[in-house]
Amino acid sequence: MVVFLSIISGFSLPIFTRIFSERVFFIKSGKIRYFTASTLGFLLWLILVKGSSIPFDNIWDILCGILIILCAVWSNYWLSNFGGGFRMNMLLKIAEQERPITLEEWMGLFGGLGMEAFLEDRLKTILVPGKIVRENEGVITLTRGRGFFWGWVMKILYHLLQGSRRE
Amino acid sequence: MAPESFWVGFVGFGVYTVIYLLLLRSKLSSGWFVLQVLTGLLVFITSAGLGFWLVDRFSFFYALSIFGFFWFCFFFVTGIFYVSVSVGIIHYLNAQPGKSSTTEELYQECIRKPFIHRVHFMEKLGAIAHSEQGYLITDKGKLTVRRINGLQNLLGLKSRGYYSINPDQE
Repeated sequence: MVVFLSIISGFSLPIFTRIFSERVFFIKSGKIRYFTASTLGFLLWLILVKGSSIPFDNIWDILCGILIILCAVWSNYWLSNFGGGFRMNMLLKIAEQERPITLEEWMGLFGGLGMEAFLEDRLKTILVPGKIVRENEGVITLTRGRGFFWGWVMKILYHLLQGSRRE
Repeated sequence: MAPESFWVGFVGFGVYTVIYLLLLRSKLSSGWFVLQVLTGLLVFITSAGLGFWLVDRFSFFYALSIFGFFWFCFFFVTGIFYVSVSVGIIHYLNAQPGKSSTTEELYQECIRKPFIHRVHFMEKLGAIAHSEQGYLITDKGKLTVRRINGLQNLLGLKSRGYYSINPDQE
C-alpha cells in the first residue's frame, strides 16, 4: 500500500512543477520551482500515508516509500533538462531557421544572447559565487581551497569515468 | 523477507557499478547514457530474478527502490561529469599550468569545442544536415523538436539555458 501511495505521490511532482509554471502560481526561479514541487510531493506522500491508516511500524515499507519519492525527485530534476539543456537549446534554435546557418551564426543565436553570454553566465552564477574560480582582468584562476579541491575531484572522476567520453 | 530484498537491490547496484566501469574501458562505442540505462536494466532484471529464486518472500519493490535510488545518484554524478559546462571549465583549468586561463581560451576550449561536439552528434543522429551553405534541421530533427516542444508545454518547462540572464528582459 505504501509503495502504491509513494508512486502516486511521485507522479505528482511533475504536476506540481507544471502548476508552478502557470501564470497564477508562477515561480520565476527554476531552482525554487523545483524545490517547492519536490517539497509538496513529499508532503502529499506524508498526508496520504498518515491518512490511509497504514501502521507506521513497518519501517521497511516506510523506507521503501521514501526511496521511491527520492527517485521521483531525481527524475523530476532530469526532466527539467528538457527545458534548458545545452543540446535542447541548440536544436530548438536551429529549428527556427528557414535557411542554412553557419556555425558562428548558430552559436550567436544560442539562448537568445549567444555562447559568450553563456560562458559569462556559468562563471558568474556558479563558479565565481561558489568561490571555485576567481576572475581578474580576463584571467580565470582556480582558487586555492575550494577550486583546488574540485579540480582534484574532477581529476579522480576523469580517470574513473573515462573522461575521454566527456561531451 | 524485507531486509534481504533491500540487500538484493543494494548488491545489484554494486555489481552494476563494476560492470558499467568495466564497459567504459571496453571498445564499445555506445554513449554513456545508453550504457548506463541498458546496463542498469539488465543488472536489475537479473538481480530481481535471482531474488525471486533465492530469497524467501522476495519483495520486488523493496529491491527496486534501493537500486533505483542509488542508480539515480550515480546517474546524477556521471551526468553532471559528462555534460556540464561548468565541470568542463574546472577540469580544463585544473589541467593548465598555474591552474588559470584567459576567458578567450576558456571560450574556445570549454564552449566552442563542446558545441561542435554536439553538432557532430546531432549530425550523426540525422537531426541536422550540413551543406556548403551551413547547417539546417532535417525532417527527423523537426520531429524531435515537435516532441520536445510537446513535452515542454505539457510539463511547463521553458528555459533559455542561462541561470542569471533573462534575454527577454535584455
